[in-house]
Parts: sequence; structure tokens; C-alpha cells
Amino acid sequence: MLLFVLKRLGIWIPTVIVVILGVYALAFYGAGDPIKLIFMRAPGDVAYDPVRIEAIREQAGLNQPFIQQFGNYLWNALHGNFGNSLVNGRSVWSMIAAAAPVSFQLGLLAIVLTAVVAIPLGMVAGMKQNSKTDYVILGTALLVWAIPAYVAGPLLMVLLITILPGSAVPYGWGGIFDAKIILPLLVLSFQPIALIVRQTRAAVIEVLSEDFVRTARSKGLPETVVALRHILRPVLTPIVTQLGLIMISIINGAIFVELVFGLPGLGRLTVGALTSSDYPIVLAITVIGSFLVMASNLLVDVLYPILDPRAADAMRSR
Amino acid sequence: MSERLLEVKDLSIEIATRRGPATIVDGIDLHVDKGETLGIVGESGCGKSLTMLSLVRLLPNKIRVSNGTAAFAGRDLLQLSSRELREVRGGKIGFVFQDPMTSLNPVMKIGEQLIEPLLYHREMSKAEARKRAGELLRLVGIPGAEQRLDSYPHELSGGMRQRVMIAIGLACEPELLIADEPTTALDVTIQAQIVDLVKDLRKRLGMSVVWITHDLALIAGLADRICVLYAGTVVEDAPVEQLFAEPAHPYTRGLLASIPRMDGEDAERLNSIGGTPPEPGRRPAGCPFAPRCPMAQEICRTTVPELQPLRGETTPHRVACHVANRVLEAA
Repeated sequence: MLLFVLKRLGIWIPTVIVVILGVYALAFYGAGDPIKLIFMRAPGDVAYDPVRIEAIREQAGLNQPFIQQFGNYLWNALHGNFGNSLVNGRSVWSMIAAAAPVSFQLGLLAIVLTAVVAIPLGMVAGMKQNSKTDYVILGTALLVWAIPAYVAGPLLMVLLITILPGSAVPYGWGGIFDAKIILPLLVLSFQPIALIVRQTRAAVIEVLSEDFVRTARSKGLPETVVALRHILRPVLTPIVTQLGLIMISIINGAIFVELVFGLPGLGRLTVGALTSSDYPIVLAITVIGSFLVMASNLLVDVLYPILDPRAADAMRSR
Repeated sequence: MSERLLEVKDLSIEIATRRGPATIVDGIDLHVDKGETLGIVGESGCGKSLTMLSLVRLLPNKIRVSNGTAAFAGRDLLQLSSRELREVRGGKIGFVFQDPMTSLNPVMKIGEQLIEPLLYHREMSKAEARKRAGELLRLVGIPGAEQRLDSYPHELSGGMRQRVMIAIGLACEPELLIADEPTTALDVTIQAQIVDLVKDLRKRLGMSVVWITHDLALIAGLADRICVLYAGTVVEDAPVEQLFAEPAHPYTRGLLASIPRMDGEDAERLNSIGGTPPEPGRRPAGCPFAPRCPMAQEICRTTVPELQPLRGETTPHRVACHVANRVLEAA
């Protein structure tokens, strides 16, 4: 297992470098001159003075060849220095350090809520396929699935403010134990819950037709035991993968929810940076995002053999 | 006469299709005596597995019993409550299924799967059940039995897995073991081992066995009596020696002729029965075998033959054929 993790980490390093290279190249060759952009906002006509611009460019090392600049960026990033924001001059790292915990807590909480609500509902729906219970669960899931976050968010907010008197406006961040988190959490979890309910149901129906389920029943086990001991585990394997993917997408930018509910997370940071061409921030967020994807992939890979012993064997032989 | 353990009467099973229910099993009568081994033989799709699965309500979706009774130790299995049914499943009737590769849960250890029936039927503690599970594995001839309890199914060979399945089926010493083509997925040498194992266990535990197969040659050395099924009906039911000595149904004759022989003049040629069985829902009006039968008469196409004793009332040899006597004369 340890060897497997080490090997995985070995593949990470080149992957991360390639990702950074790609994003850096986009920023380097893409539209917008960072130096001009800096002085666009500064007083005076610096942006239109080619001599001064070139002087500053040389001073900042931005006239060096691409590969050298990229090397510098990598070297600095390796030491935890992602540069400074072009807009307000603050260090990118400190801005991300402020936003990331918000997104992380939100993402984790949303995933826990999703798993706790959706997996049991999906199990029940699948076990009672084509019954009334199944139709109600599946129908609700489909309905919820069809409502996008930018519709559900404002609507729920209006509902809360106008219909429930005396409740506080759910705007801003007060930590995960603050009541204000309930609404954004709900909106964030809506679609994942619908997705996981449907996926769990489909997986249960598939596993139900497996021969080993018939064997379990032929032993005279109660149906709940068949469901929890024999059906749940094979069902969980794909669900865990899916939950990992959902968590990444929430952490990487629950853009609408963060904007609507005024949460200072990575999503809001990204939108701000993109609209103001603050490319060091965009770069850093992308790098962190790709890092997260790989970290959660590793987590799923480590969880797999616990759920399926055949995967453990495959892992050992690799 | 020996004591009846299981008596199935007029059992019909139908499948829901888009054009309405179609009959797959049509009024089957069969019985198993205490300590007897019954072989159920027939082509794939003739309803032999479904018949046995229906007894403990393990039929797949969309397939249901539409008629009949199944008396087991004095009670009708088809009328049991789900609690009573659970007591029968695994407790009174043990199952061994066809494909040991897929019939064991791939993510559970052998031991965990083996102790389940003991925990639920015998109310043993986990430690007791584990001890018993080790004994069971030894009983079915798995080397290093106790150590194997912590193996996963994929770590065992096909033959070993089928032995585990048999151990699970036998765990609570059932009165009846239903083996649904337990050797079909196995190598020929392993097949013989499994047959010998069941023969040996049957004697030691004094249980009845229903062995479902499409392989007449395999069942010959194992069964006391054979039921031949065709298109969801019993066409012939006879003690094994009698069935082989004078098969009275043209279908049985066809089956016997299709067993490859190394002796005789036709050793080179392999006989087969022409045509295919009728699809469910498209059963012919008369005898279901009539369209493929070389000896079919007018009456065969119009009237369904009843399962009747061959030559008089006392013989245990029963056949459902209008021309059975002519079949015997021709032989």
C-alpha cells in the first residue's frame, strides 16, 4: 500500500509540472499584457509609454524567454511563493490561504450531507424498485436535479427572508456552526443528492440481479441484512468515486453559491481574479485545483481496496 | 412406500411480457422422498431451475408462480409468510447454484459468508459459528480449511469455490439440498469430484437431493430417480435404471441418443434432436414436443398428453406421451 502511494506520488510530480506549464503558457501567450494592465489602473499615462513599460518589464524579468520565466515561477512556487496580486499587491498565497478553508469546509460538509441523505434514499428506492416509495424518491430527485443552483439559491433566500419572519439574512461567512451556512449548504447539496440518489438506486438494481444476492437470500437472511451486508458494499465503490469528484467541484469553485450567499471562498476569488485579469491568482488557483483533483484521486484509490478486496490484490501486484 | 419430503402439484410459472403473461412452466407434478436423490434433466430454458427456485420464492423479477402447491414436510411452501420462508431458506432447504464464480459475494471473506446461515438459523455465537464453518470446509474437502475462512472468493479456484457453495448449502444440515447445475461451470475432472462429494455427503447426512442438470450421463451415477422436463412440463419420470433401460418418451430417447459413445457403430457421429423448444407464449396446442417428434401422430398436435404410469397403475415409471407404447415397441 505504501509503495502504491509512493508510486502514485511519483506520477504526480510530472503531472503537476505539466499542468502549471499549460496554465502558465496560456497566461504568457494569451491575451493581455500584465505590465500594461498594472498601469492601466495607475494614474498617469505609463501604460502608453513604451520606453517606461519596457524598463519595468526588464526590471520585473518579464522580458526573459518563456522557459526562464517559467523556471523562475516553478522555483518560487516550490518555495510557496506564488507572487503577488496585480490588483492589490497582496501575496497570492495569503489570499488563497484566507479563501481555501471556507471552500474546504463547505465542500466537506456538503459531501457529508449528500452521503448521509442520498445513499440511504437511493438504497431504499433501489430495493423497492417500481414501488410507490421508489417513484416518490426518484421523482423528487429528478425535480431537484432540474433546479440549478442560481435559481434555488436566490429563491430559497427570498423564501427565508420574506416568509420566515425574524430570520437573519443568510449572507456572509460565520463558520460551519453558524446558522447562515444552512442555506448555502442546502443549495450546494441539492444536485449532488439528486445525482447520488439516482446513481445509488441504479447500482442497487444492478447488484440485485447478481447471483450472490440470490445466494444470500437462499441462506434465509432477512432482507435488511441482505441489503446492508451484501448489496451496500459493491454499490459504494462507484459512489465513493462520484462523491470525490463532487467534492472537488465544490471546493474548486461553487461560484454561484459563493456569490449569491457572499461566501469568501475560492469560487468568489476566482471570479474576481478572472474579471480583473489578475493572472497570478488564476494561476495559483488552477495549480491548487489540479492538486486537489490528484489528492482526491489518491484518496479514492486508497479507499477502493477497503471496499473491494480484488482491488487490493491488483494493487499489490502492480 | 417411503415418506414424501416434497410434493409439487400442478405448478405453473409465468413471465410478464409486453404481450401479457406467458407460461414458462405448465403444471409440473413432481415429488422427492426422504433420502432420495432426484435428477431433473432438460434443455436450457425448459424451466428446471425456475421450478426449484420458485419453491423458496427466489424467482427473478417479472417471473411468478401462477398456480400450484408445493408441500414440504406437510406445509405448502408457496403459502408461507416471509418469516417462515426465511426459516426454510438455508435452514430446511439448502441451495447450491450453478456458477461458483458469481454466486459468492466477491467482497466478503469465505468465512463471513459461511457463518451467515449459522448465525441466523442456529443462533450461534460468532466464535461457535466460525468453529463450525471450519468443520464444514473440512467436510467438503478443502485443504487447510481453517486458514481458508479468511480468504476471499477470488483467491480460490472454481472447484474450491463450488465446495464452499456446497458447504454454505449444507451449513444448517437441511433436509433437502437443491443443486442447480452445480458442475456446469467446472472442468470435467472437477465435475467428477463434486459429484462424488455430494454422493458421499448425502449418505453421511441422510438428506434428500434435487440435482438439476442438462447432462444425463452425469446424473446417471448419482440419482435414484430422474424427471425429464421439456418446455415446462414433466415428460417422463422414472427410476434411473428404468429410464436408461427403456426410455418411453421420444424426447428422452433423443436425449439419450445425444450422449456421445465411444463404442458401437455410430461412435463417429453425434446425434442431436432437430429443431428448438417452443418459446414461452407460443406453445403448441397439443404435446409441446410434437413439432420436433419423429413419431408424432394427429392426436399429438391436438391433445396434451397426461403424465401416466407406463403399463398399469403400480409402476413408478410415468410418461406423458400418446405414443409411448409404440416408442417401446420400436426399440
